[in-house]
Amino acid sequence: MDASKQAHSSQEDFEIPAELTPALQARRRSQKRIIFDRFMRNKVATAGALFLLFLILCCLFGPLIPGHTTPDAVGVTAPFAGSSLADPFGTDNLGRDTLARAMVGGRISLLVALSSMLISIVLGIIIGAFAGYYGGWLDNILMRLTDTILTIPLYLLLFVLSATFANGTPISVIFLIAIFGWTKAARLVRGEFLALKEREFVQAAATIGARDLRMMFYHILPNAAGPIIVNATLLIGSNIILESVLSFFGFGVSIPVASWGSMINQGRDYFDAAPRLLLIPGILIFLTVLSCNLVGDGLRDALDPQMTER
Amino acid sequence: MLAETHYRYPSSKLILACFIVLTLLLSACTPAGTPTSSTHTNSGQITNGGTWIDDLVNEPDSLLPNATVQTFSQMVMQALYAPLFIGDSQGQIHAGITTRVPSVTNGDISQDQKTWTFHLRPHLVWSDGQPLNADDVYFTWQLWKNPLFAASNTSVIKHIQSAQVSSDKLSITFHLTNPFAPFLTAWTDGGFAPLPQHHFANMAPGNIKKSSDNLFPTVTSGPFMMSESKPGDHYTVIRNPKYYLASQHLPHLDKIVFRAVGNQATILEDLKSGVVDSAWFLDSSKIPSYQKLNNYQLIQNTSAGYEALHFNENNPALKDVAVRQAISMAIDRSTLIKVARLGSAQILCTDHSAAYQPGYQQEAPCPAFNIDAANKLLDNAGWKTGSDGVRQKNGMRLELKYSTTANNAWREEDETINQANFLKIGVKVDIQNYPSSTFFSTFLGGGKAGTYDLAEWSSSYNYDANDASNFACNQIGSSNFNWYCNPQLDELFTQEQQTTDATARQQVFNQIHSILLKDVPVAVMFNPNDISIAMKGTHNYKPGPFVASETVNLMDWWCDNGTCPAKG
Amino acid sequence: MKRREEGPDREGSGLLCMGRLVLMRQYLLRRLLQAIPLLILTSILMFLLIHAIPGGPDAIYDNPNLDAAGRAALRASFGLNDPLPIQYFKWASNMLHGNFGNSLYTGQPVSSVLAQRFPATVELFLSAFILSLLLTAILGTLSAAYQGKAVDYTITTLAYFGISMPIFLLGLVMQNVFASSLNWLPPSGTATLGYTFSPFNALLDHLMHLLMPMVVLAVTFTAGWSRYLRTSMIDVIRQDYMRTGRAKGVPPARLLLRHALRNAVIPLITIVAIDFGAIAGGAAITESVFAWPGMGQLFIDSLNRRDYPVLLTALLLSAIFVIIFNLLADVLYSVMDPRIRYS
Repeated sequence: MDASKQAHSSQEDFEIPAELTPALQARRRSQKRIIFDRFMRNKVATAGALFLLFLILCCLFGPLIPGHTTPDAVGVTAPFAGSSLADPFGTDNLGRDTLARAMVGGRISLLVALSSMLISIVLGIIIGAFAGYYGGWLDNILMRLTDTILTIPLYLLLFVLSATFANGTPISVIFLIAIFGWTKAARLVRGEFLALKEREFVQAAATIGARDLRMMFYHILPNAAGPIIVNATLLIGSNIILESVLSFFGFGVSIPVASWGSMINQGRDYFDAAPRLLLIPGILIFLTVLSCNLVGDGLRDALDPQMTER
Repeated sequence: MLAETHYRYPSSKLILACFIVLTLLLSACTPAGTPTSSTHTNSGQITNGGTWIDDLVNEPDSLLPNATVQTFSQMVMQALYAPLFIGDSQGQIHAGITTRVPSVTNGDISQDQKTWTFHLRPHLVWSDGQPLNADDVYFTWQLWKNPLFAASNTSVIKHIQSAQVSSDKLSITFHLTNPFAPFLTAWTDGGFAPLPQHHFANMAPGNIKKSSDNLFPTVTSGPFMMSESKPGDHYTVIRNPKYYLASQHLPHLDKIVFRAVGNQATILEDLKSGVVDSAWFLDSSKIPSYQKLNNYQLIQNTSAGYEALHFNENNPALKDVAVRQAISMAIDRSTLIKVARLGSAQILCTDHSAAYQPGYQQEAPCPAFNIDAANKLLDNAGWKTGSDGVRQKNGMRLELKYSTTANNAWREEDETINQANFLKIGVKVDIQNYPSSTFFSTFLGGGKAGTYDLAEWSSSYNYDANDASNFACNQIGSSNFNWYCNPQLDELFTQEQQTTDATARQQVFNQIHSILLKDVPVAVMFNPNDISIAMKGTHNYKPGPFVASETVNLMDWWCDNGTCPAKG
Repeated sequence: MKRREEGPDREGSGLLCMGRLVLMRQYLLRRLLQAIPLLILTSILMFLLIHAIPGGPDAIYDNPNLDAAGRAALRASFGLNDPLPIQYFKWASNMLHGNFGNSLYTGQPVSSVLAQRFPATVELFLSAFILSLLLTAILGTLSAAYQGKAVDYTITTLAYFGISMPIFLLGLVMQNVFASSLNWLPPSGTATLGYTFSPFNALLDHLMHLLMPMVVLAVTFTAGWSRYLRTSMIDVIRQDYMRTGRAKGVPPARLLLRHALRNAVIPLITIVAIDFGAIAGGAAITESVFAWPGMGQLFIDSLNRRDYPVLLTALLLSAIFVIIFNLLADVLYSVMDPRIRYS
């Protein structure tokens, strides 16, 4: 990055007032506040975040709305009933309430995406931290393992694993997806650790006798938080897509449990007669992934100290 | 600050170039081609010529007779091989390359029904010009009984004790170990046709399926012969001029292309685009979409199969006949037919649909759908409802696994509907489905209670109602997947196998049905229709219920003016 | 004047090139050697994985009429009775000898099964890849050149659309719109069957079949890559030499395409290389939606049939291709960026 940009950024975000009056003191923002403000300035990313929030609220509390509490009840109305005031999304091939299923399905999809993201990020942090901090043969082994997994095409490997281990429960799908997610995070964390462990504050901590684990997860890790958070947000999006791809080939959550992926899998059979059965979960997946990508990119920009304008 | 400094680049050129490429590609929309056809005459008259395109739902695994259990392979083989006997759309057996169907009356079956003689037509040849005679039939029997060849069906030919070929090589006589009425079924349709001895005799039996002949048979005898074999894409067969009925202008078509599509959604797209002439084994959940296709004729046939819920009696809870009866009473058959099959099924409660004559018993009573009666039955049998709503007895819980073949839309609907109803009688079912190859082998064959408790699939028998394979005690684990054994039934199977007299057999089958309805080793749900579709302008497309099914009479297929309507 | 300036320089760079070539060869050799343990690890991993599938290789014998003797004979002929490590070594040495075993489904040699499907996949893969690169170059450049303007926003919006769209959903919708509803394009397959075409029309017909799967496969990757190219392009535009170029009066288009694009593409190479595995997965999904008879569809079919020899070989082949492509990307990277040191 060229120097002019950095100069520019410090001018804008780290303005140092001539004198610290109480009023100015109050206006001084914490780092979190700065990042938050920067994020909010990005309208599209904010919209994405709001949509995600709305979606999560819908999925959590939607199934409590009277009239939409029975997503699995068969034959509530006639099969393939169109949208009405009572059932805005209509009903599916078995006369089940599509709105209720979409909300409950969203719960499962988001649960799968979030939990597998958490697992893979934790895995990635541990593996990346050890590899980056200790280096040497440990680094070599861990990185070869990462390379090996990166070598095998993800989807293909995922299909094989789902045929092997998944039994159609959300938990099996979560673990399946998590097994892959960590490679990117591990590389990222390792890179950050390699760079950070040479920095003065780490050296200083080492001099006062901080132990390895404390050093890794207390001193170094918080400084690598930015890229990890961005990676995690993007991972949620790709996990939702993975879940739907698995379901599309019949390896996802088993019937009658609704997830957006399994709704797509079933809706596909009626795409011609009732396209909405596929399009509703499809659009929900699309919007969710889109929001995750927007929020992720927004966070990246907000967290990037070099970043000023778009 | 730097963001403001931007320059006007002549991007219009880039966009233009991009558009030109796309337009070029799009302009190729309708490449001009000439349909392969020959003589043009008036419609209404049978005209020879034309290329017929047919979608297959599954990829054939072998095109060698008796090397596969797959119907779609057997459909293609009907084009490639001339069998000793051949079925029709009604499921009746006729003479193929034989001169007549054996019977006790014409003397080809001995009085004790243990000696069967087949008379071959004279001057038969293989597609390479070599003679086709009884030696080939003898060789075929020898090959099929060799375990290295791994024939798909040995249940009939294992009754053969010995065979003799006549000196003129035009007849072959089989001596059976015991009377066996369904003997002809081992030789009916292209999927069970003789193989060329001169071609395969020098090959090790274990290597035949591994050879390239497996998917590109070079020496055949049927109305067509292989011209192109592209696994995963299509198989093209062209007219065989040496076919034994060639003098009768058969087959009518020049060429048939079998496309291996493997996916119901893609087949529907093909139909909507009008690129195929016919497709069979269609998905009942898409019937409204099929009905919207004005250029196609939707055909529904009575199939030979019975869709049933099978009980694994390795599970001690399912050993209790009251549980099986109660579950059978909790099946809402009319809703299943109406919602899951969209009306495309017949009510049936025995294992013989109307396709079996003899075999079908019209008046066989179905258990009525009655949740209260089912609950009462379970109460009386000592199954008490627990606090979680699931019935229990002596430490056994009525929580059962329910499985079927994966990715099957209407079967998943069956499962969901049944699951809801079973819950009302205190039976909790957990659904877990398997791809059909796993389902029909390790899953069912394993018979492990707790993994396989209830399983739904459809069974049928080839051209004969003999149902020993599915219920006889000695078939447990190989084709009796109920682990149900009843010596009384075994006795009845022997009886029906010993006579070729239709009336006598029907009486035995009726007794079998009453035992099955009482013991409920399977809860028959319905008889699904075979759904097929053919484009208007095609003729004689008449799928049958058995073996070659869709293509049973493909030598008679023809198209208006010798040009088939699909645009390919 | 320019020519006189370049003269001596060229000779010097020629000598340098010789030295670079030797260095590059060493570098390549080392990269190749590094790839071998990777390959072995990958093969062991996959071998173990696939044998862990419930049902195991036995699952394929869906023939209830086969008796115990027949089953035993079949097992022996497929070498399934040995202990796992022996099976692996047998399999690995067979692989090295080009003997991949026989498909458990059709009995055909795996090499011929794959060879039949290989051209279709390579065709789809390469055409989508090239289309993707072309579109990336166009969209990324336009987006960077018109940064902050309507063109940029449009392209960015499209890119987000492409990134967030599950590939099968796009395929299904396009198939429904362009084939079934509008009837512009064929819905599936590789050629119109039952017609005889002149060679030119046959090619045209084939391209029509290729168009939709190619575009569907290209969209996702174009979307991601064009975002990267935009970012790195913006970085390049801000560099001093670009400013110098503009000051010297180099035509803007030439400056953008010859200088900026060339340099901006370098970081993209790594991203593209990482995505090779994902393209293979995307190809499998696309092939399955459009009944394109390639290896991806074969892979999914084989998985449902539990056809291990085919699955193993296809997986391993795709892994090998990912490794090779990554090597190629490294080479390309070093060729494009003279600053790379071979250390």
